[in-house]
Amino acid sequence: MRPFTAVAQGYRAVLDPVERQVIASIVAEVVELLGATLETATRDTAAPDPDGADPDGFDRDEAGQLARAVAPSSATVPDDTAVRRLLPDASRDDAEVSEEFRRLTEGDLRDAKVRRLAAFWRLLQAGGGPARGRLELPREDASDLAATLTDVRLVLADRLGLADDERVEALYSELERDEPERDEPERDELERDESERDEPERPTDPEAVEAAQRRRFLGSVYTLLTYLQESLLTAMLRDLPREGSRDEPVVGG
Amino acid sequence: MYIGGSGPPDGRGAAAYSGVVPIEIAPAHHELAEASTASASPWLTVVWNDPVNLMSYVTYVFQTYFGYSRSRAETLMRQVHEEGKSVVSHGNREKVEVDVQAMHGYGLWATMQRGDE
Repeated sequence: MRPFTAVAQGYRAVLDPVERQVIASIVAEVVELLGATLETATRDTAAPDPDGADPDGFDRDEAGQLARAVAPSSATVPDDTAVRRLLPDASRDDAEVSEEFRRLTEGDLRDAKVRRLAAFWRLLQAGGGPARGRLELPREDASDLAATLTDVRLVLADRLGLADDERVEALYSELERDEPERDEPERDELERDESERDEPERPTDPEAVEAAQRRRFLGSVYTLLTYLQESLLTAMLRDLPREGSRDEPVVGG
Repeated sequence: MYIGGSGPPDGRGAAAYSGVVPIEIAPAHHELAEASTASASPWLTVVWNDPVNLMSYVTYVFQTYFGYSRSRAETLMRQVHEEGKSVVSHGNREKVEVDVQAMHGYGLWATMQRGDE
C-alpha cells in the first residue's frame, strides 16, 4: 500500500489486489449491516459489467454474495452496536428528542452512508486493469471518501472492542507482537517451544484460535484504513485555506 | 499489513492551545418546570470524543462544514479530544438538528441539548 498523495487530478493511493479485495469485502459487509445491498446501492449509478474479468482476480460475485438484504430501515433504535454508532441518538437524556430526530433523519443518513460506501466499493474495483492498483479520486469526492472511511473504521472498532484510546494502543501492540511470527512460519519445533514460553496466553482450542485470527484480520484492516484516511486527510487539509468562511466571534468565555 | 501508530504522520494538529474559551455549558440537569423558559433559549450541538475519529478529520469537518478557521477548528477539536466534548454550534432547534444530522453524516458522535441560560 502506498498512502494518498495529492496529484493534479485529485488524490491517489496504491493498494495491492489483496488489500483491495479485503477492504471491498468489509465495505460490502458494512453496506449489509446498514440494511442495504450493493446491488440496489449501485443500481442507476454504475454501468453493469457482469462479464468483466478482472485481471487481478477480484471476485465480484463473492463480494456481491456478502451483500444480502437484512432488516429494512426503521425508526427504532438499532440493535447492533455498530449501527447504533453510525446512527446514534441525538440526545443523551431526552428520549423524545432522540426519537423525533431518528424519525426525521435516519432514513436519509442511512441512504447517504450506503451511497458513499457503494461509491468506495466501485472505486476499489476500478483499480484493476491499466490503472494497476491505483485508487484515484477527484478532489470533490475526497470528503465523501474520508467520511466513508470513518464509517468503516467505526464498525471495525466496534467489532474489535476499541472503546477508548488505551484499547486502540493495545491493539497496535498486539499486531506488532504478532507481526514477526507471520514472517517466520518455518521455525523449527524446538525454537518455537522456546519462544512460546515467554508469550502471553496463546489460545489452543479451535474457537479461540479462530477468534484470534479474526481479530488480527480485522485489526490489520482497521490499521490499513486508518493509515489511508490519515494520509488522505493530510493532503486534503493542505489544500484547504486556513481562514474560515464564516468565523463567528467566540461566545461566552 | 500493520503500518504504524495512529498519530498524524506530520504532527499536524499539534498547534498549541490558542487559549480561546468556547461556550461554557452547564451540566445537563434539565428541570421540566423550566421548559417554558428553556424553549426560548438556543440549542447547542455537542460533539463527543471517540477513539476512532482522527484529529485531522475532526479538524477538517469543523473547518469545512461550519466554515471555521483552521485555528478555531483545531481549538474545538482539541477540546473534544482533551475534555471529552465540545460545543461546536448553537442556534434554534431546527438549525441544531441540521448540524447534528450533518455531524452524524460525517461519522462524528454529536448530540443536541438546550442551552441552560
